[in-house]
Amino acid sequence: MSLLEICQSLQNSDWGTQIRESIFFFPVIEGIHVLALGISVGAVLWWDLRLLGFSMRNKPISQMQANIFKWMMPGFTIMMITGVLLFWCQAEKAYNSIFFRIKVIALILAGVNILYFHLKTQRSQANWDTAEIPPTNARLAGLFSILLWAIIIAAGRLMAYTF
Amino acid sequence: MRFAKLTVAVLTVLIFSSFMAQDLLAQTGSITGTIIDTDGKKVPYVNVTATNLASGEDKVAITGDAGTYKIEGLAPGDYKVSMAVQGFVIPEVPNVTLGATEAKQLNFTLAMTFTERMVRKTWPFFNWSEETWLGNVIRNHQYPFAVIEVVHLFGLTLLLGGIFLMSLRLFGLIMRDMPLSQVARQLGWISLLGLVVMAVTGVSLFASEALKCYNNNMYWYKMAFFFPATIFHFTLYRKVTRSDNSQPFLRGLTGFLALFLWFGVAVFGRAIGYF
Repeated sequence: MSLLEICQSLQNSDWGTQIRESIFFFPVIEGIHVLALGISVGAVLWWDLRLLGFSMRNKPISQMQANIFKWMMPGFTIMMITGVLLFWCQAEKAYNSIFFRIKVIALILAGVNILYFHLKTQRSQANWDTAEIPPTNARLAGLFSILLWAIIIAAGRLMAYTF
Repeated sequence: MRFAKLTVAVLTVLIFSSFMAQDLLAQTGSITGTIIDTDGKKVPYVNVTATNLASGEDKVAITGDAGTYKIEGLAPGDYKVSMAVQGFVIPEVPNVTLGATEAKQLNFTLAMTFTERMVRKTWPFFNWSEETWLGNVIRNHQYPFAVIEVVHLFGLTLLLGGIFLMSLRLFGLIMRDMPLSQVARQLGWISLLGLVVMAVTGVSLFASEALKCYNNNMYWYKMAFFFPATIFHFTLYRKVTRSDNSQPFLRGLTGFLALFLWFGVAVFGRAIGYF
């Protein structure tokens, strides 16, 4: 089955149709998806600012990580679950939307950015953990994160205009 | 053969006319009337329901711009008449008894609620807003509205993100080693920047569809949350977050209020698009 056919079968499935045509479920799921922006991307922004060396410079990075990550996780989990449900019920429309494709690519790049930071850049963290301004790799990780999330949010909003 | 055809024809005519006669002799009445407010103006959109007390059957009519309603096809009997409309005090209507072909006249004068009166006073402002240069520019071009909405979302991320993080600190869940006032100084600008961005984009979005907002209940609920949230943000919230010796209970309350008020704004803001 091609990707398009998979998307069509998702959109036309029982669940997909029920969510899409419900007066209650779709608005609530979509509303939660938007509001959870504050407790996910809004929270990670602070972490990105520390990586850039713009905020809380005297706080060790490892301490911030220990502080903030467990509070960010519920937010991103909610985003993922609501996002999957929203995609499920409009999979074919999303597939055909240029903005959705941009959003997916940006999400993948954001994931790559995170992985690279955690697996490679963080190996030398002991050297710069307490530095006010971390080394360039860490700063770039913060910058890319902010830019990619801005693209993801913009593409997510503009998607609706192409449906 | 000719005799049989004639019989069928006569029978058909007789059967048809008996049905027609039944309609003409049908015993239905109606309830009609005009609804005005205490200023003498007609009230549209009033749902008037006549419920047959014996059968429990409902019939509804809605007033139009002329303020008139007409409920027809009512069998004779006792009826409960009730009304539903937003913004007016709904009176208790005594039951009516309808005769066989009676056309009953029930007129009503409704009093506006205090909220409705206050809301209507603001209508000139909404009308003016829609005709401003800003409103016209956004309405008449394809892209500005979408772009402004995206930036409005950026602002939301900043505002809710900043409030969320400060609430976590107020609850004592993160960064306990840093004094509250220091955290506020380092983080406060995020939610403030978000608020400014949302205010600027919000005013622009409002100008482009002010009258739609006026007629949308969700917009009024959003403002009912927005004004207290903003006042709270620059008074109690600012005071508590900048002090290092406030009580844990007051801190907890401040954090809870901040989350409740700003997420309230966000929920109704999103709901505007659905109503």
